[in-house]
Amino acid sequence: MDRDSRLNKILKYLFGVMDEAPPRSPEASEATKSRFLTHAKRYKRARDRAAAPASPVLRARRIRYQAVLGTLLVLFFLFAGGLGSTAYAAQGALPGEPLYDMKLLFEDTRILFANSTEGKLSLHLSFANERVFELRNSLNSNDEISLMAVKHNFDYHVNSAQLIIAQDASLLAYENELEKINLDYYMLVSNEEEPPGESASFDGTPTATATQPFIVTNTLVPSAGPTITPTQNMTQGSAPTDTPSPILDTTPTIIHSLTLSPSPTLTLTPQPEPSQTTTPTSTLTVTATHTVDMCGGISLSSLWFDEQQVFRTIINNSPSTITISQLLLEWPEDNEELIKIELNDDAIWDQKDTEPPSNIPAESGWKLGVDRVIGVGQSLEIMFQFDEDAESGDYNTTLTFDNACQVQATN
Amino acid sequence: MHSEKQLLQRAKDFDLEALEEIFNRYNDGLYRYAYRLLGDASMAEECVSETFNRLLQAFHNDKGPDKYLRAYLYRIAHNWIAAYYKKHTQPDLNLELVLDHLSEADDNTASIAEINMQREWIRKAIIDLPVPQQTAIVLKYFEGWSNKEIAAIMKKTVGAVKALENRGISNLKKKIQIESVRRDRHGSR
Repeated sequence: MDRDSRLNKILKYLFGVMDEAPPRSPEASEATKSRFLTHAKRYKRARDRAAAPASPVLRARRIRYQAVLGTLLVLFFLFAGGLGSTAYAAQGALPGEPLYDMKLLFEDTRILFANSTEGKLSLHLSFANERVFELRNSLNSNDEISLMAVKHNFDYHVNSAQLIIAQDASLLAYENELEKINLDYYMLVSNEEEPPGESASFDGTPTATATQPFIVTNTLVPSAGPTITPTQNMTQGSAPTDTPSPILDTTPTIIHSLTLSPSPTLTLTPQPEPSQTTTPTSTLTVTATHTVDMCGGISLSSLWFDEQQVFRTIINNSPSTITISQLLLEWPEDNEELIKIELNDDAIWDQKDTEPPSNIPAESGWKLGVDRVIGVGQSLEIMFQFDEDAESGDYNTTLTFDNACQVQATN
Repeated sequence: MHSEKQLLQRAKDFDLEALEEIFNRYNDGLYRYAYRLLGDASMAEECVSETFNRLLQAFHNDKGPDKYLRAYLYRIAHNWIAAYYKKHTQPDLNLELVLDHLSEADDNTASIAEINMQREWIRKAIIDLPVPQQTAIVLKYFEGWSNKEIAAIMKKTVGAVKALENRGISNLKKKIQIESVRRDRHGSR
């Protein structure tokens, strides 16, 4: 038998061996099917809801009722004293109203004191719902700063809820509720923002990066309820404009540092700030700082290869539509030239680059007339086309988006 | 039974019956394909699951195929597997031992353990091929696809597909040859 015939025979034998795949487990097969159909139903629901008319008033009322009732109950236990009446007054506050920041503060306090993970999750969902309600009732407002704060507080509650669900499989049942809230919100926001794909003023104005969270600062001067006067750690005689600035960080690790003094004095956490002084009669200005990570939902998949092409997937689970503004790409020199870049089969760059790294648009501009937009919830493939077969190696990819978020992947 | 075009139209509207029919039509074939390349039942199952999930995502984003659904699904699975192997390298197998048994391939006396080892060897040999050759060979020789269908999934001409198959087979023979020579050298020491 000549060598080639022998090799053919061995190969045929080996192919025969490989063809004998073991039978598939019916249970596993059924589970895969069930997962697929569950996902399909969710997508169908999302499609149906998107096609449905704007959300009903009754639902808004129900959400408001639940939020108000929940707030009242917890505040009763937490602040049975003098602050209770302020809390009561604050719970119905809308964005831009004097007691609105107080309302957010009390919500965060409730979350802080929730006695179980499920309780925290439930509160996050409830407050996200409340933000949707507020947004719906404030769409005609011109107070963009307040609306922006509502949106970022919504993001905070939704991101926190997602994080809790991701860390505890027993809470997966809440995913549907979260999805409903998200849909309500995006239907609302998409009706409001225009044109799609452009950064609306709410989300586009601030600068955010993956490492530098977005910071919104709101100032509140309470005008209803008992007068709040700072007493502790403050020296009389200074200018009345001095403002103690308790920090409320609404990232998952919440730090509340607030010195308040209704009559009688109540101190949640003393904040030693000897340099801050005010007169005893000045009205306390509470500044709440909400820190929200706008970039956490944006990610870049690992690579896959197909001859001269290298692929990644850009996933945008952030609350805003994003546009690629800058790309930094390294590649093995053996690939010769970078010829083209496509986003979801549309060429977004087609100027040749002969040596790595490529810095677009610093070295050569994007293709005109083609958008580089990744919508909310979208996963789009970005393809890099080379002159020669793509070698394995480092393909360090750094993408920067119009909202200043940045993602990076190496392989 | 609906035509593929009708099925796709309904599936894009998230008609659950249509989506279920698509799943029923293609999931077993995709599983076999994935299993052959991954060699692990749970990973193959995950590949199938992810493939169909990506199809749903594509429909949700108003993307996805208007025709060649099967090719589209296999392409997703193929990409998933290629990405998987970029992240996970397999340990080397004892090819010498395999080839000891390969030389006795005629006598049908290989034990189950030996057959498993041989299966691992050929799987690794195929996986080590460049991805296009790998895809062409698996679809042609194990899934029984026509060259035209393979050309559709790979976005190549039929001629290019044939060339890939020939190069793939030739590379596999070389791998066997190299191991045979190595084994002979060890044996002659």
